[in-house]
Amino acid sequence: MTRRVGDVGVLKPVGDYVGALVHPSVHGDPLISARHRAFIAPRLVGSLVALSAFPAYIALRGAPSALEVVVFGWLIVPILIAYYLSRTGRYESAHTMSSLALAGLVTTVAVKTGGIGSFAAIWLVVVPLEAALSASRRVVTIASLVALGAAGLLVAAGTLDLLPTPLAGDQRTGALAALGIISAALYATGLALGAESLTRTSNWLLGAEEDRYRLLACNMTDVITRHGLNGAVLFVSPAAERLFGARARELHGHGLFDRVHISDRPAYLSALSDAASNGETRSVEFRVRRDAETPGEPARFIWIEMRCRPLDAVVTGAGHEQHEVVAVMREVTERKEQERALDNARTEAERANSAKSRFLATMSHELRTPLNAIIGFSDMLVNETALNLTAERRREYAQLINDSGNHLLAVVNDLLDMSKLETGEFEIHPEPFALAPVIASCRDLLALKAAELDVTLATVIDPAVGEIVADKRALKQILLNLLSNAVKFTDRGGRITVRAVADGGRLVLSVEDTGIGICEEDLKRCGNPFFQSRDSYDRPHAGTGLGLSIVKGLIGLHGGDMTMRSRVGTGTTVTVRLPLDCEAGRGGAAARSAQAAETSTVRRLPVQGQTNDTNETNEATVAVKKRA
Amino acid sequence: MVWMIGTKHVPQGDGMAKTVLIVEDNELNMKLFHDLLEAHGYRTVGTRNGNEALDLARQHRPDLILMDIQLPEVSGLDVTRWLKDDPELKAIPVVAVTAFAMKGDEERIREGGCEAYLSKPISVGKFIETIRHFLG
Repeated sequence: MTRRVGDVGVLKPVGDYVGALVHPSVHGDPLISARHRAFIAPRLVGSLVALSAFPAYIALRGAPSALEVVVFGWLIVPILIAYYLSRTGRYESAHTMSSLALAGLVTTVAVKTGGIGSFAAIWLVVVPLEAALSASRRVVTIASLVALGAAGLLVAAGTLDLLPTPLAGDQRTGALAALGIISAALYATGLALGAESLTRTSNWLLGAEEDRYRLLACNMTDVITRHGLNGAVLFVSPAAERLFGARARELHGHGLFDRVHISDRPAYLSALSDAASNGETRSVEFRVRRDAETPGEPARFIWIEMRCRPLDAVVTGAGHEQHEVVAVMREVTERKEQERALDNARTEAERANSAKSRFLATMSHELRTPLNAIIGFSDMLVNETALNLTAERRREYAQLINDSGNHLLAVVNDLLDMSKLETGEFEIHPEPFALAPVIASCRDLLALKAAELDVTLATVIDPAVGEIVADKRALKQILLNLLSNAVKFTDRGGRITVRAVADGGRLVLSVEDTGIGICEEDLKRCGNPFFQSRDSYDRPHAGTGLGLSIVKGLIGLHGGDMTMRSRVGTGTTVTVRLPLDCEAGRGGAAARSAQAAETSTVRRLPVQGQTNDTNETNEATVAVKKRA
Repeated sequence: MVWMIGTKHVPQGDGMAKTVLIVEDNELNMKLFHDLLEAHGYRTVGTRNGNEALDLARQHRPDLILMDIQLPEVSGLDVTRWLKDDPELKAIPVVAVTAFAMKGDEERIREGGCEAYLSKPISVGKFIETIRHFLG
């Protein structure tokens, strides 16, 4: 509620009456409405009081002089001006008229009572003071000019001796002086009341405005900025302190821009420039550096969503319209992180799905190849008479069917091994055995194929490596897989070297080839189930893509690790480190005593998440030298 | 490796036997196709290497080529494209015999220029029927 003039006490009815006189056009604005009341009230009250005193004055003094009649007549003028304002709402005109009326009255009285030296002349000072209430510079200027003009007129008239002879008789002059002082005092009271009321209204309005602003500023987490034509920050709201961890003034000018992530700067600038040049509302997301709350901690980048809205058009020198821009910024880091997590999950799911499809295609191919021989040769056996098969041929075909069946079984076993390794069901049976003969037998198994491809197969075994404790079958499987991979990927005339050395309590087993190598991207994924390097529809190399992941799993069960180094076109080296005694390597007195109680050497070891990078048991370090 | 196998006998006895070039990297399957074709009176030339396939085709001018798709070094589809790009060889029909038998494989292989497609494991009857379709 807006307080009105004289809300309290006896003045209330007067206040209500004055309130009703305010022109309807200013009812909406409390401050202007208060100014109108402050104009109307003292003029009405002062004039009416002075007029009501007129009969008493006449009763005391008898017939009035011409001057007295003029003065009292003049008191009607403020009422007329107040009425004018009430009817038209023209505040500045009313003030100007009021200034002229007052100056006129004072000048008239002063002319009759001794010019510039008259008791009345000093009241010319009231003219600009009264105008000061209008809060209009124009009105104040006019009033000041009028007052100065009137003073000048009095001085000039005095100098030129144009003034009438002052009225004789102290009594009359004294009465006039008293009248002037009383009416001026009343008038001044009215002005003072009006001024006080105006101040109170405007203070109240300011307070309300400030409360509203404070409420917004304290509770709004969004930051509001104003940007100049070149994008520089001209204003930034206090919430920025919390959002960016920086003082508002540090963000002024290009302070904010300097904090925008370097790769997001073009987007940030183009959003501002679109809003500034084209007057478009734009929205943009970018990263901004937020300083740490405690010094010493590194700053981090947060995601900000900024909506830019052009302000009213500003015409620049170049002639085309440009705008200042108001922007609202809000942190969206959490949403961005969710989006990214979702994106990663989707990519991961797509990758898993395509790995599955590839696996199915690969398995289908790997199973169909031996099945072709089995079905084909057995079909020929069925039609032996038509085909004129000799007994020797028949025996040969039966053998080929048998071979293919065994190959098929090996594929299925690989699959089962992989599945067991993945679910942690794989069992190893550690036993002491001599390593050299195992390596030799693996080499011999692949010697024929290597010779066929003109690939040299060499073994270098450190005599210090004697017996090791491990699962013999698993170790064979590891070696055969690595060797056959090496043979598969080594070109004609190449060389494969198997090395075994003891290094402290560990066996270091490496298979080095001069083959085609593996590119960096693929190397990271080598050993993931079903992954095949250089994967394409027409895979140039056969295989299920299970070999290396089985190797990884088996090494993990022994408490060892595997490292791959490769250079495309030069070759690949796979290094396996195993404890010389995997039982000892497993450590843990509890495990040993539990095992002793079982009396069996069979152990079941869990393999943690083959597909989860962070949990891989073999912590394979992968290093690749890029080709220059 | 390359080897040539002469015809054991020619049941039709109508002069020159037709020659089939087999491109297949799996030994057992090579033997199967060779024995089957031989039993039906065809001459065969075989290789497990795609690069050699082109030379053999130029050398022997076979009447038909059986093409495995997954081969070491170059794929059967590449070899087929080279054959079809060669004006002297492009008339030789190419029959893809492959273990790629997933959805879309046949279409893709036919688009690659092969005149026919047989998936492994083959049906012996259909295999011979297809050969006869091209060689009579």
